Amino acid sequence: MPEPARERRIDVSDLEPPEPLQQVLLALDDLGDAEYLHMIHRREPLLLYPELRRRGFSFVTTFDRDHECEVFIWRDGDTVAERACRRYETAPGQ
Amino acid sequence: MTAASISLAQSPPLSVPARFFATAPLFGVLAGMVMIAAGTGGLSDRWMPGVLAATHLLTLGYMGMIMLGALMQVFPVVIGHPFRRSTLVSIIVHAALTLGIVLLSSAFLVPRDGILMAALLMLAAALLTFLAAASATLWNVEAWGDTAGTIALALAAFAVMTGLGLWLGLGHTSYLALPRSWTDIHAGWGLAGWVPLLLMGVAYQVVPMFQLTPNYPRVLRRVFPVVLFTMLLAGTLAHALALPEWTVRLSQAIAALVLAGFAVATLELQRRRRRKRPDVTVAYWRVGLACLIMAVLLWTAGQLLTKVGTDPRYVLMLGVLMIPGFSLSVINGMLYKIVPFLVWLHLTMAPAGRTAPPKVPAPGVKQIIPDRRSRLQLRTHTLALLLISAGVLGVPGLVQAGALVFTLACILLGRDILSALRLYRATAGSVQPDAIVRTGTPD
Repeated sequence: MPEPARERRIDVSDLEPPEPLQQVLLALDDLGDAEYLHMIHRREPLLLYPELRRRGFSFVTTFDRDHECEVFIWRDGDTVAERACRRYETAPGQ
Repeated sequence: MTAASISLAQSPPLSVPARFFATAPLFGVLAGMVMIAAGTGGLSDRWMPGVLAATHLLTLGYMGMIMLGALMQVFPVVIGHPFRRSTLVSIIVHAALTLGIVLLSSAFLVPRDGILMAALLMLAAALLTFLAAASATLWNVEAWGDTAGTIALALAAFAVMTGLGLWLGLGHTSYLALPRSWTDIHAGWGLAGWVPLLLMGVAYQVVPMFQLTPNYPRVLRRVFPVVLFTMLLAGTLAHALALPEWTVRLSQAIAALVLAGFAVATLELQRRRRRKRPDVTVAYWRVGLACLIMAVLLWTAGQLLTKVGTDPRYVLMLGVLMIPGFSLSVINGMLYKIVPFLVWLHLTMAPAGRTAPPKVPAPGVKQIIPDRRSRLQLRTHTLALLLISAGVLGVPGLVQAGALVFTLACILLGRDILSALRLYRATAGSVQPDAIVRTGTPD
């Protein structure tokens, strides 16, 4: 049976810029194998995306009805984490 | 352009806004020195050379420098397009504007046709270059959001204010009669148009983002800027066509209501912010918005009571409330948030193609300008406002004391901006873009 992916959850909704970016980049440094980061924010972190790509991460983003934003981030090549994140792409409310 | 493609690569180099931000406090210092030198007697009427020089050092020099620099920076974020040829435009505009402001204030203090004409030429070159570049950028906007629309209206107000200003400037030479009755229209397009429209456009984005408030109501974002601009236009046409005075007053009254409404709405949003910790920027905004509300109340009193409206202190007090009171308080508050943010961003998010060897991590944002420094500047600035206001209202000697404290506040602002930029310069060559300091997380 394949190893399940582990989620690391980080809620940056109550932080002012650039703390959300700072916290997420710090958390990504420690991301292990089969782990993904689940970021919760009050707005879409547009500046984060190119930085994620530059650092070798991929992501999917979803929004809820109140426009709160959730970003699921995994290290490129980590197929276990990617599969877990991809499930959210088709989640209701996306 | 898709939203997801916004990146630092589209931002101008830090030097583009930095040259404007670093120069602005110098004009504040010069304005303070002019007020100190003019003395109480030299500042008792709006038409006195010292008042005209200090006013334009503050509006064009201090506020104008920061607003133009900030616009070039925020275009990619709020408009979705980078500012066209930002480095070249910033060099030309900054040089011509700096020279133009020095010459203009000199010409107010020592009237010479030659100096004034040179000033007007420089200012026309600076402001028209900026307008042309900004218009060319706006031309490419595909999706007009509330912010882009409001900024476009702000730039239109800026164009009218500039045109009227150049015309009034020519009136101060011996070549043309001074169309003095247009002075209030010129000031109105600047202080009730260009400044609040730009602040509104930027506030729709930065107040919820940086101050963690709910978003501005949709009706306010859509309707307020359009009504404000329309009323300024209506008042101008009524004046030009010599329509009855009440038509001008009515349009001004509606514009004043919009300004007060914006102030009250922003204060209410700040009351509902998610994080209730003391925040220096919020305090700057509260001082500025309180001044805006007081300015609207004073203007209303001036319309209703002839004794107030004809008192020479009335216009001076309106100027104090609107220029250093409202505009500079809000602008300073935003600078203390935006400058450290930009420095941090440029150090942390390496632009494409960066090859500098990683050595040290970038500093945390609160280490770039510590809160105690911005708090000191806020207190000094607010004390200056109180002293100048008391002096204008008649307490002897306090205008000079206030001008001295204001000069000190500008020196503090300049020191803080320069130290942030120096830190960027010292760190930029050796920073490790992928690393950030783990200690000193912003509070």
